[in-house]
Amino acid sequence: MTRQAAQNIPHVRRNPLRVRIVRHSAIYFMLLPAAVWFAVFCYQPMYGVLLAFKDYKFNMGILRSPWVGLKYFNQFLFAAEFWNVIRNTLVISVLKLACSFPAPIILALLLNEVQNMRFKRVVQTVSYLPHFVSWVVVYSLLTIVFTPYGGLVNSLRTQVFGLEAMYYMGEKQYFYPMAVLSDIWKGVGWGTIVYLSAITSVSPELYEAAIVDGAGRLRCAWHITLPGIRPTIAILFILATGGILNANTDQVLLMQQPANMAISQIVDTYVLKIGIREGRFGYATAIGLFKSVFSAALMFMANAISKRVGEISIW
Amino acid sequence: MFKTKKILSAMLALALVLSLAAPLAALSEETTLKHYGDVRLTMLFVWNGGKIAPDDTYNNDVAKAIREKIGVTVEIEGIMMSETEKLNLIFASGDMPDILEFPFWGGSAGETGVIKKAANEGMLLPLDDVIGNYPNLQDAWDVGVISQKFLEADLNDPLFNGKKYVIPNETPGSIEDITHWAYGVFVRSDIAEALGTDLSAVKTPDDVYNFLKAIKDGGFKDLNGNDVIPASSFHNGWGVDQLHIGFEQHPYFTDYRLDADGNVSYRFLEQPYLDEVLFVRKLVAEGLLDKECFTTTDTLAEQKTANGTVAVQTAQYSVSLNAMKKLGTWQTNPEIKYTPVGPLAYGDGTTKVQSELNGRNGTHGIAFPITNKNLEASLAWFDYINSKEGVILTEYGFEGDTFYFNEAGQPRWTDELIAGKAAGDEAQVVSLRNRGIRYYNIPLISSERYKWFGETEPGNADAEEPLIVEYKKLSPIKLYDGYPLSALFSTFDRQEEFNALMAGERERVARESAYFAETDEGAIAIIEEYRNYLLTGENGVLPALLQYVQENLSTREDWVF
Repeated sequence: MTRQAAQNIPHVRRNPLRVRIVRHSAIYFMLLPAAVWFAVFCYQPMYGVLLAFKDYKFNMGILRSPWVGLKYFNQFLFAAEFWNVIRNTLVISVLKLACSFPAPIILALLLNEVQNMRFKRVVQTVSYLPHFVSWVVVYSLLTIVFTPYGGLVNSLRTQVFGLEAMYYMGEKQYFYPMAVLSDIWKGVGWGTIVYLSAITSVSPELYEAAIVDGAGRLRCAWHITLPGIRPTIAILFILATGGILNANTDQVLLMQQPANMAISQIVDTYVLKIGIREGRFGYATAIGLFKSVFSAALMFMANAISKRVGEISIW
Repeated sequence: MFKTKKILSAMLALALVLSLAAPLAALSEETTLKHYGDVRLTMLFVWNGGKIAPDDTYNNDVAKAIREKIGVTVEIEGIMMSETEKLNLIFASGDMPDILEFPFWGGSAGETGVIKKAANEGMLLPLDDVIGNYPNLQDAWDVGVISQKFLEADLNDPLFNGKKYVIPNETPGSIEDITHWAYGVFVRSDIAEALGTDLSAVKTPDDVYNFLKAIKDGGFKDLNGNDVIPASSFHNGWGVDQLHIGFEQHPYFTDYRLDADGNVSYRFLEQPYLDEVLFVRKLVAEGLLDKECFTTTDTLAEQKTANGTVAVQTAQYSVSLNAMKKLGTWQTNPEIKYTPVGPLAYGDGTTKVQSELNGRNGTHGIAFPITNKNLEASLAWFDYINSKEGVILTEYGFEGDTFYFNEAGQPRWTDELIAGKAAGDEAQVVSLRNRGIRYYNIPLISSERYKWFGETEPGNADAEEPLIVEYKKLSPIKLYDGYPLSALFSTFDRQEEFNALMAGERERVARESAYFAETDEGAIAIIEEYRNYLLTGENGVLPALLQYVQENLSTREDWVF
């Protein structure tokens, strides 16, 4: 809600919370399962962050294990891989933010212009499908298509263009394009759902008025549709900023190859290999906590900027 | 009065003697024949690759027979993930099986570290008070079956305070019982014939390079008409090391070495290691080694092998031959059957062997978490399946049905099963497994199978692939005596820092990244960066460790490295 809109709401004297809860008890009761779910599965396990400050002993559990202060944070900040994994994570995330984030917006705008409903539905359905395919399957498909030993792409290279076969999955310079393009392929269709829904809320009268004034489709899309879904874009962008240190573990882990390891080791794969796999639970938790705090700070910052510049914010 | 006291004392003494004697008498029976009713136990087989179970783990024929005998059933489950990670998760979550079977290689190996931590933190049951009751488990700790170093530094780690927590298993009772894995380099027979190369003359890395180059230049095709890949491996590069064995002067048992002047060094800091990396980089860069092999799966590798797409295959000989049998090309295209190259030689010119320490320096282990439902029954089960009768049951099955005794009194599978084994019949393996036969074959302790039966596994005496038998003669097992340098690590006081330095797969990542570097200089830079990490990481703990080992060399003279 914008600041302007908030100021326009007349000041109304409200009943005390207790009275409101009693009055709307049926609705609050319906909220209860969700609240319990959050408490049990999201908040209760959070006591596990204590591990970041403990020398974990199997027989003592989290609470009784001895305290070690900030030892693991120090270890991570001064680890040989620290800057490398942070840089890799940020590069992959920013690339995805720059390419994967606008892709569903563009597709939604294009789909909105399609007049043939049958064609539109087919395109939507086909573009949604990759979302339901696991990254393991996507990676297997990529391997089969791009293998230098009889893969589709390399067969074209060698047999049609007379070029040498190329090991796309294993060449360092192809890692970023492969990661970003496969991410777009998998997520673009699903991502359009929110934007298509937002587009439906744009008043048809605006389009009619614009057409009367001589605006074409492109101008309508640029001056009416896009501004109409701007709050949705802004909110999703703020949320995406909060996840900037999540570069998609499944995808990156599967696509890691010896040749691209220098640019594909991200925070989460580092935690998995050096922390969890080696049983260094305290170290792994410390990195996780560091990541969460950093992400939350980024999200607050993006929210504040968005609020100041565009008067759009999550809270 | 005095007489009455005497009589009473005598009666009391007699009662005491009888009360002690009765359990002792019972114990002597219990050691072999005690029946536990119906104790049902779970065992987790912590080995990445899984352990395929019978359709019914409780009611298969072998399980029923064991249950009838001792009243204990053990249901084994496998895993498909990192062993170290799984062990950590088991102990951290407290969700533990009754029995654990795991790699226990000793020294700084990840799995060994977790097991030692679990023992020290009270998650495993000590065995000292009960192990003496089980005769077939007694020789598991004998030096000769295991090495002195393994016993002192790992099984009886000083931190265990004199307690025993781990039973070493899969230990051979004699040299004949050591499994010969038949590692090496193998080429498609038809390609070798077409090239006319004397395979026995391929010995050095240069020979390997020239041989692979000749294959590439020869324009050979696989069974589907596609170009062959000169060399490859099985999962995640398994077997590539066989191609560059010549960069090692002789067999080594640890990565810590003593040079001629008595200086301690670490393999990854030495020139031969860099030469080896550059050699593999050259193979990759020139298209002589499968670029996908470092991330491949066994399933894909088997397809490439069985279709003849791979001209030179590495790892264990049986894996290549079995791939052909499994996918049918053994019968349809016998001309491509893989044949041994070399065997290659070490840097000092001697032929590659399967080198083993006299007594295992590391092996698998069995331990019992504190949640174990019945330790006595657990040990009784191991005791039984490691008895001669138990091994016959679990390996050979049922007399008159799946095996018979030959004139020498040794069990032998029926002709039908022998024929199936020779043909690589997968359906037979499944069928036997569903009856429980060979499902319990892994946890064998101090195996005496060869001495007892004249073969290390059913069918070997009659149906082992002749090509493999021949290769084993070319590259035999060789025993070495001595004490590895890594034994000194257990008394080094900066263990935590050292483990942190070695955590993860940094060496593998650096090495494989270097294989794919664009230039030799790029590869050298990657290795140098890794070396810099080794020398400076964790406050220079590695140089400190090498210094510590150097200073303690005088503690004994029989170092082997």
